[in-house]
Amino acid sequence: MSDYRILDIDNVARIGLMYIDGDKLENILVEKLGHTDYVFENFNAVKSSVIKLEKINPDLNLIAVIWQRRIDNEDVVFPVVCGRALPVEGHGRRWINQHMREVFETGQKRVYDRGNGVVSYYYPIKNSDAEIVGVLELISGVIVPNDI
Amino acid sequence: MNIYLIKDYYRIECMTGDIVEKGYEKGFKKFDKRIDFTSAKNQFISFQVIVDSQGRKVNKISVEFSDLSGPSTIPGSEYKAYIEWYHNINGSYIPDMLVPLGETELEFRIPLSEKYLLNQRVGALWVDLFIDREVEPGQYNGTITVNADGEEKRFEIGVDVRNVTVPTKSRIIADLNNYADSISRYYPKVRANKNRYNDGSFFALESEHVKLAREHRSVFHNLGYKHSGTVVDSFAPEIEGEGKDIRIKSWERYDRHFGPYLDGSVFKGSRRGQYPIEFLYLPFNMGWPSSYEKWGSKGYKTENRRIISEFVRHFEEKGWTQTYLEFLLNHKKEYRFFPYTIDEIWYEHDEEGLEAYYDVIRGTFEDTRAKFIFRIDSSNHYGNHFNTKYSDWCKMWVVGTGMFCWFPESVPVMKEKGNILWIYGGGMLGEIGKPLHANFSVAITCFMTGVDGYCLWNTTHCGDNYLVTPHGNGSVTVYYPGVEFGYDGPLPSLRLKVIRNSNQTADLLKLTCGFDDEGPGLKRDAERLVNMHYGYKDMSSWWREKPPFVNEPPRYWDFGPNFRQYVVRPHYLDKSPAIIENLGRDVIKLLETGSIRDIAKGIELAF
Repeated sequence: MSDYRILDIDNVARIGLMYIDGDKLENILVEKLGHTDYVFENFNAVKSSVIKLEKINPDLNLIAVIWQRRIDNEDVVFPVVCGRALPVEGHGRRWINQHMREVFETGQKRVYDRGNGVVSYYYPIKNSDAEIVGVLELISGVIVPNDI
Repeated sequence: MNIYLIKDYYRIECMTGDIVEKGYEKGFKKFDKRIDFTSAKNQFISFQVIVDSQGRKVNKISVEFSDLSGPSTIPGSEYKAYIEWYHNINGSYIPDMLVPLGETELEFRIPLSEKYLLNQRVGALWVDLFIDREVEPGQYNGTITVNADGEEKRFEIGVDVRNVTVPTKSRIIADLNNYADSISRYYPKVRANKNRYNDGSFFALESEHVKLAREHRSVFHNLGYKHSGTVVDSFAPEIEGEGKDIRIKSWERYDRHFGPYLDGSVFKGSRRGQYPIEFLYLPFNMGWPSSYEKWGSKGYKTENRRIISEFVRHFEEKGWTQTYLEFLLNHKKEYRFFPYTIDEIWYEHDEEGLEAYYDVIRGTFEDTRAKFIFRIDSSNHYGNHFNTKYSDWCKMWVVGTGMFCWFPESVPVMKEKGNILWIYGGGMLGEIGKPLHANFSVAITCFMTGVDGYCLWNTTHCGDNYLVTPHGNGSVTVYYPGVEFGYDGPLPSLRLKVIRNSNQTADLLKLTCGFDDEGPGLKRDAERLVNMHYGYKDMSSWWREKPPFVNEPPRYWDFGPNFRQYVVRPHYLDKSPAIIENLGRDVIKLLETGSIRDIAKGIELAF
């Protein structure tokens, strides 16, 4: 009954990523260059998967965030769907960090130890053409979730 | 040493002794011997005691108030004095935080602080005098004695109490809006207490804010959930189960938190009466009680409707039927938690989210004596929405002044539908240096445009450096923490006093409503009176013509500097702050005589 509680972060990510629809994520924004506005059906499907992912192993107390790159500047990223809290960096656009860049470019998982027990785990999210369309960040060790 | 009195609509800069309201000097008076007021009953009047030390240090300043004698007696105990604390606003030292005299560790001396205000020259007291509703009308006289290091000065005070009574309950709501928990951070003991939402310490602190608002004709409003949809501890009852099995597990903590507001017991001893709080946010949002994971499913609807029905039953059983209980969706898509912006709809298709949510809750709360209400905050699309099904569903509208001023025709529509209508605006309070009749004019605008209240935003937000320069030069700050002076509760700002005093006049004006279409035409006279004081020919000055782009989607509007031409010019500009006193006095006269004729002859224009 409680076996799921032994799943580590990589296994949580592996299961969760199976249910995040990359095609919907790819087309989650109404306009990729305008103000933030969502295709509701796509957002709701992705958000639902993100919430479920956070609950796969509640003992891990993970926060899940999905990032995308701006198509007009790949050095700029933004959280496009947040689970139960914001990323450490907040809700706005920002320069891509090296860890996330490597995930977008290599398709490999990266780990970013932020100190004070807070660790970000980055995983690629692919569409049905196996293209990377976003990065899943799982944040562990957060005591006070970032919210506004 | 120069000791004098001034009224409640100017302030004195403490380093120079100059008046703060530069450019608005007309109407400024110093009172050296005697000060006179006209007052209604059940009204506060306010003035300031100014001690200009002219460069000397003053170790101890005291003040004594005698009883006021007249047809009956107004006891000296009806006075309350506050030390004015000065903030550095762009290099000027302007009073705003008020520290109750004799109730904290702060003593009234010059300088108030050897470190921060070393070159302080002027000290001031803000003084409230309450005229009880039982006071017999007539002329009252008393004395005020100020002693500064042995130098004594005595003033006479006269109050002409008229046979008009300020309504105890507000007719125009001054809403002090906040987001939980924006209080604890300013109170080290409460902040350090991890059990504060259970052991009553947070409730005690929050209730001091609630009571302070009530005393100042305002309502403390605290939204209990975050943008993620997560409800702050104790702002919702504990729930358990899911789907058809979801239920309230315990009301115990929620009732301990809000019960005293809802039954009015928290207001015991208030001059404004022990009646329930007027408005309260509910915890419902797109992420509570049902997880957004279920959005669009039948289970989402089931869970919301089951919990709402438990709320309805609980509030009925408790008899909590006098407070408006608000469903408010504060969601904004830019925070990435939800795809809709329901708080001030921006994209037209966000209406889909509003409609879907209303479909979830409709039919659950309408047929009860408890006053559940679906509220919407609107600006950009107000013109498109005010006369649609949305104003049938949403019975409470909080509307941005920028767009509201284009739609005077919306007010009768809202009123006919029985809706509550408030206004808000980014600069509604404004920085501390803004003249005080700007705040007064907000309350008057409510009367002149026919709305029921105004919303000030984030009013506990003073920032960590509030003693020196509050956040944004005090552009949102209404409350200050008293902890620096050994007082573990909120202190009022001088501007909260102005809000209260302004709302007294606005509430008196509201008494004329109902006499506009038939009968003596008292409301029309009241509107004429206000227009005369503001120098306006007619009611059109309270509105603006619709801009040429009004039918374009708001996302294509140009909100740059050119946008200003399409909003109402601030009413306080070019007027004297003395309009607060002059108009206030004439409103009392209007209500007493029932006619504008005699007043119009002797009107004292303040511009």
